[in-house]
Amino acid sequence: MTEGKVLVVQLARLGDLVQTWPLLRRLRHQDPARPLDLLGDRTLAALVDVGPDLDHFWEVDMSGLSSLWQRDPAGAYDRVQHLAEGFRKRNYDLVYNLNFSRVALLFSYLAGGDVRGYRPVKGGREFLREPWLALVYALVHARKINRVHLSDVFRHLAPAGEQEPFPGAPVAKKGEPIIALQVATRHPKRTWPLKAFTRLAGLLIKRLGAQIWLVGTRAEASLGEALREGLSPAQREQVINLQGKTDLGELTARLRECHLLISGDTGTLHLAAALGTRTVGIFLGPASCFETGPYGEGHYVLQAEPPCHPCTEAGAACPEPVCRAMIPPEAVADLAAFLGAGREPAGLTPLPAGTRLYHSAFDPLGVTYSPLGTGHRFIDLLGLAYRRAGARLLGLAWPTSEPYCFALCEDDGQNLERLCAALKNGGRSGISPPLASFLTPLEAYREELRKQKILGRDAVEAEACLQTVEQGFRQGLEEWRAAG
Amino acid sequence: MMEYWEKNIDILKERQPELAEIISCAHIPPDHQVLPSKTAAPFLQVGQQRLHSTYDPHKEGVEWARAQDLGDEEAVVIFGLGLGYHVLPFLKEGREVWVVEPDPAVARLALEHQDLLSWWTRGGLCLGRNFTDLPAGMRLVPHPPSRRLHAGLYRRLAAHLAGQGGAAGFLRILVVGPLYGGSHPIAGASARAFQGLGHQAELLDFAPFYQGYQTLKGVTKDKATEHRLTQDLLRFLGDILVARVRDMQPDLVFFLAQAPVDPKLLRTLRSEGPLLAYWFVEDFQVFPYWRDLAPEVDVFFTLQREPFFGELKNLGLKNFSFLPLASDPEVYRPVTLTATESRQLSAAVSFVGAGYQNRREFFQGLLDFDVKIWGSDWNLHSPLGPFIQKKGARVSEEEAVKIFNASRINLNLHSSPYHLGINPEGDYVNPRTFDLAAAGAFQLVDVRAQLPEFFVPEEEVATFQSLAEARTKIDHYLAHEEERLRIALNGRKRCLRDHTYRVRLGQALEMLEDICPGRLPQRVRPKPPLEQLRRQFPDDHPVQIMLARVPPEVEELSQLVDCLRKGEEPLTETEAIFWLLHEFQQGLERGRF
Repeated sequence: MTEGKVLVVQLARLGDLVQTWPLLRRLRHQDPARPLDLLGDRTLAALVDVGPDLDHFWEVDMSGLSSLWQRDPAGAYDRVQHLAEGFRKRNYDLVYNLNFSRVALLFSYLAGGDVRGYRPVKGGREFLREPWLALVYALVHARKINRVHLSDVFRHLAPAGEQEPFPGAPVAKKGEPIIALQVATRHPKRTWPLKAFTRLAGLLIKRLGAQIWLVGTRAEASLGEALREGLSPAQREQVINLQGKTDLGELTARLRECHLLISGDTGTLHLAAALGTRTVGIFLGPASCFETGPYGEGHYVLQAEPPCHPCTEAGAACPEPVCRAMIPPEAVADLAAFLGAGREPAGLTPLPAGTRLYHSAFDPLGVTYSPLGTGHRFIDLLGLAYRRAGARLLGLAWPTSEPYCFALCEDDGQNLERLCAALKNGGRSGISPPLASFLTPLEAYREELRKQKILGRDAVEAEACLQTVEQGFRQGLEEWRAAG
Repeated sequence: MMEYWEKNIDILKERQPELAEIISCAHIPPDHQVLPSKTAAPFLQVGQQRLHSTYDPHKEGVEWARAQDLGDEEAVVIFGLGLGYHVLPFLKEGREVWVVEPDPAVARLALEHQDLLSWWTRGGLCLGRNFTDLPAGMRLVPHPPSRRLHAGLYRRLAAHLAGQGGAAGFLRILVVGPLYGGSHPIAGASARAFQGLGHQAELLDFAPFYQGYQTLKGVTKDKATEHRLTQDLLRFLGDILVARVRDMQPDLVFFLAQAPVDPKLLRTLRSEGPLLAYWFVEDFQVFPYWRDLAPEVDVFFTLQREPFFGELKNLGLKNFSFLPLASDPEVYRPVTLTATESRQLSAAVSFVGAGYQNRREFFQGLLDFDVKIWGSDWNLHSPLGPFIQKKGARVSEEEAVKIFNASRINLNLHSSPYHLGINPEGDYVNPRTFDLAAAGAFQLVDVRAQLPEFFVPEEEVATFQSLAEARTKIDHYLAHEEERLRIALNGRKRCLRDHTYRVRLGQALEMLEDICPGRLPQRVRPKPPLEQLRRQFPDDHPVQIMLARVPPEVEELSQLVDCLRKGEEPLTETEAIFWLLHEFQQGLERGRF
């Protein structure tokens, strides 16, 4: 089956690269002998050996190239031209462009070959999202009900075919518990307060006798120091600050070694999960585990879901960041204790209203997060309906009986009726705006496909995709409505 | 000695006809004096500067020439013509001689008093700033007195001949205008002119504050309070000016008359670093506030020479220079009128301007003509009443241009608060004189001492010295349309050549250099980004081919990317790589790719 060579373009950060590994794994699984190359940021080169096998890694010095263009345009041009020449010699059949950026688009264009994902059209000037990507783009218009993980977005760009095996659940480790904490994230809005991490560290040391490793970059080291300062001298002994002291290789080794990583939505979290280490994610603000939770089975996420969740990262600081206080360190410590003991978490410290504990597993589409201790809500139902529609678009078989446990009220039932009626009538008239907003992804999808026709998307194909998604969504809702 | 003139000008007409025309029109200002030396040969004195020996200018010239020690066949560029004594020896050697003489009046005097051109077989004369055709590398010798008069220009010539010509001294200039009044449009025109000369010029326009200033007048009957409030406002405007100067860091702040500044503010600004220039576009006898301001600026430009210069010298000042007005040909230009406009605006004789007393009197003698009077401050209940248009409402610049174009004869009577009718001692020439000429409108203007310096009377503008003469000429020119149109056309040509704000302010900058040598930075104009980029790639690089296809008006990288965005053909590898690298730069600035 070995055909031409494949190039995957992933120029973004650590977390994005790690979340690309399931796609690489799939491509390898589908055709082990087919040469598979990756174009990525030079600073992540050390991770290449950690992830799925690659035949060649093209590195781009992303930050260096910018300043070189300023100082020595001819030199910068040469570098890129050298890459382009390399691509030409490789003679790629297929390119997966995973980045929504002009730079990646132009690299993909220069690479030649058939491009999946963000496809260059109009002579390399414009993007065309393929139907699956366009659907995800539409879903992201209503993030509250988006239930498709980034890794699965990438993964399903590969042709439908034999399903590669999902990674197994993390294996319990023996000995004195070593728990790693990643205290910083790249944005204040998604960062759990340091005070909470400090309290957590104290509880973990006290209740589990854990050794705490603080991981992160040198820039974050001051946070680590502040955390240590917040502990009693005895407790401080149990904390090792590795921030800024590990390169990627060493970080990988440490993450493999530790028993548990507790982190916000960071590259470290994704790396630990990918390495088979159990993780607990602390998601708040703009972070949504459905989109970027730890990928794999058997991971846990505590997610703060006030009415404004998920918010946007951009824009002014939040005037009232209630989510920061919604994840109690005690609950996290409880969870760690259960996991350390190899038991399923039960009877945790009660969580504030709006905070949920999720457990990760797999369904035919990919990773899912199911709430523990409570059933699915109305918005979960909608999210699942969209997820199912996506599966249909991809031609994936869907189980006839579903393991979902719904906790719906009468109002929800009525809303479901109304939505189904609106869909049958083909519009959002007659339903209240909040309810109508749940149809936004369908509208966004239609609009995106319409725009794409101008860029060259085949009209018949576009219509067919739209129908598939709409019908899939409707069907899901109808079935649940019928089930009562 | 005038016999030389005919001979010289005839030869010049053949060799350099344009120059001949300019020199023929050149008017000799009163401070250019030709005086007899001890040997009877004439010497020239410009202002205080003697250009030649007062004993034996011939001998001086010969000795000077010898002292330059030129090689046998060496061509030479001499800066400064004077009366030519120092040039003649070189001409008699048959050498190739170029002379750069900034002052047309000096050139004129030289051609009147010296047998020059019959000796001048090789080389030529360059007048004013027109030396850019001179090739680099020629030997330059300055005539020392001429160099003292035009230090800035000499420096520029030296730089040009040394091969460093071109864009010398890209400046940041802040132009400061008044709250209102006659110099307000001049401020705007000045800023535009500086920009047109290639500088980064900006106008700080206080006109928006005029309303507030007017409002203060009616706020209280208590004069002391009103005065205090007004001073507070002016101080506030001064703060605004200081803030702008601190932010912009201009090389030069160029004030127009009635800009809201006082000596204290000027001292503050001067200490901030920029050069301060003040263009006093007033009659010094009518507005004496120059006494306080002239000492506080680096260069003080005036519309009048003596006796104003004498007064300034009495203050101990040397920083003054004569800078007459001009016109902005982008505003004042020939325009075609619609039928309606023609109907509304045209007249046999028009006047646009304020109703000063002398005008109110004088125009009463013209009411039997088809007259239209426009502008403010006229008495609607006087005999002029029926002729005043728009009930004496102010006329905008755009309207004025149309009126100028619509009138067969435009009357230009200079204002005077003291005289009835014509001011016999009127020296300076008002903005209207230049505006009318630029607009290609025929004007009949009262005689002013300086007028012949700018326009040849009866060839480029028509003049009058009395009411009777005005009437006669009105009759004549109404009856002779062709002559009228010819004079108007000549006036416009002359104005466009010599009297635009761009020309005038270019001269001002050179005067500035002469008075404050070395104070203005010799900053090289920043090259457009694409231009810079071209220099960073080898000539045969594929990027050069791509850049060569780019339209000339595209100077910025972002514009180039726009061109790529709009193209139809698939991006070439070069284009894709270029765009990619540009995006890298953008991404770096954005913080994400």
